[in-house]
Amino acid sequence: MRESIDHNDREHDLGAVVSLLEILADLDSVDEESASLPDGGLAEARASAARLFGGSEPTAEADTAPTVASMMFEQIEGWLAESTLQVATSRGAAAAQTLDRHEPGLVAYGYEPDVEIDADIDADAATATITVVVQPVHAIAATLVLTITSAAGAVRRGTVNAYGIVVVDDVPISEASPNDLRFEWSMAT
Amino acid sequence: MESSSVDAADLTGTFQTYVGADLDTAVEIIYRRALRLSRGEAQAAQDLTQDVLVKIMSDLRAGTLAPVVEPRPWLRALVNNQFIERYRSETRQKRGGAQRIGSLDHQREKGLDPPSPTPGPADTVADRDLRVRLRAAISDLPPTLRAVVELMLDGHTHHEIAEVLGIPENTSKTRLRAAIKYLRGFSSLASE
Repeated sequence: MRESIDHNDREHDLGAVVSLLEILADLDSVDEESASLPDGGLAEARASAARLFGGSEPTAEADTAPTVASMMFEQIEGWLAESTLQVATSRGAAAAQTLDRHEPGLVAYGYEPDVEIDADIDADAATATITVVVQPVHAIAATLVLTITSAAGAVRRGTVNAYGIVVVDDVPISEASPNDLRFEWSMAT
Repeated sequence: MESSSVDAADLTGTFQTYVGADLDTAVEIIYRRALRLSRGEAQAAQDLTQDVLVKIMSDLRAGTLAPVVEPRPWLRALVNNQFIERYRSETRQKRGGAQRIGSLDHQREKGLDPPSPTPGPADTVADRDLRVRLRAAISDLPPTLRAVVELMLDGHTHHEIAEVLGIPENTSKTRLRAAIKYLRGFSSLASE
């Protein structure tokens, strides 16, 4: 059994290393230090870093970041916390009970206020894949991005697809502090 | 560094003291490598950058970060490591469950824990564990190829690798490609 686990680990590590090296080798000809960067990308990264470390934001650059219209999903943290505790008694991955929520703020974006939220929790990896289903009111609705931020500052995002589904992978969760996730909607830029 | 936590107000200054680069410079190094590993996808690069910064902040707060000697490769290596952790996490999910990670002690018993000459991203227990695991994964490579891969994993560029190993830059690139071919062979054997 131990050997089987080691074999799987090594296979995963090898796959990860090869994947990393392939990308680096593919771009051998690119000078990483002087390559051009997408407009506003570095400014956005610096603004996020400044927020994370509690320093002042580089104002001129921060102004170029997209304006975010957002709303909070309250009570989701409690649901996730409860689910996490349930999963903690088992091993591996498990699905949390579906949570139905009424979020009036979604109407402003062209969606029904009733949403369905699911979470597949991996207690061993301390992560969750969170899926939210929304219903557009009209044929054309704004493209929304769901951003989940942990208290430590880890950010995970997902975009609502044509079927009204948004999946956010690899959301860090913690049994010790399960109430530290912030859910936020914004318009896709 | 003392093990006591670092005051939030001093974090930016502490960052510069320990990392050896100011925050803006460090973010640029991290973001450039993240963008490269994300194959130009801006949003993925932002998320990867943020994860690396969260890790640095966490280590600073915990007092587990030793002063960095070579900031540029160190920062790039952190992005590499984060990329690898994500890759593993995604692979684990695709395969429908969690995989246990082999113990550090078990790997050390195999003598796969090479000493690091300078403080680097392997300065916390989790980082050391990852470093050991990655070294184990490439341990079958011939020494000349392994040296290039190890330095690449440690965040060095071909230019820097060429200087460290005293070889032409193009030789470093050639050896990296040869190593990938070699590792692909192991990878396909391992999955059979």
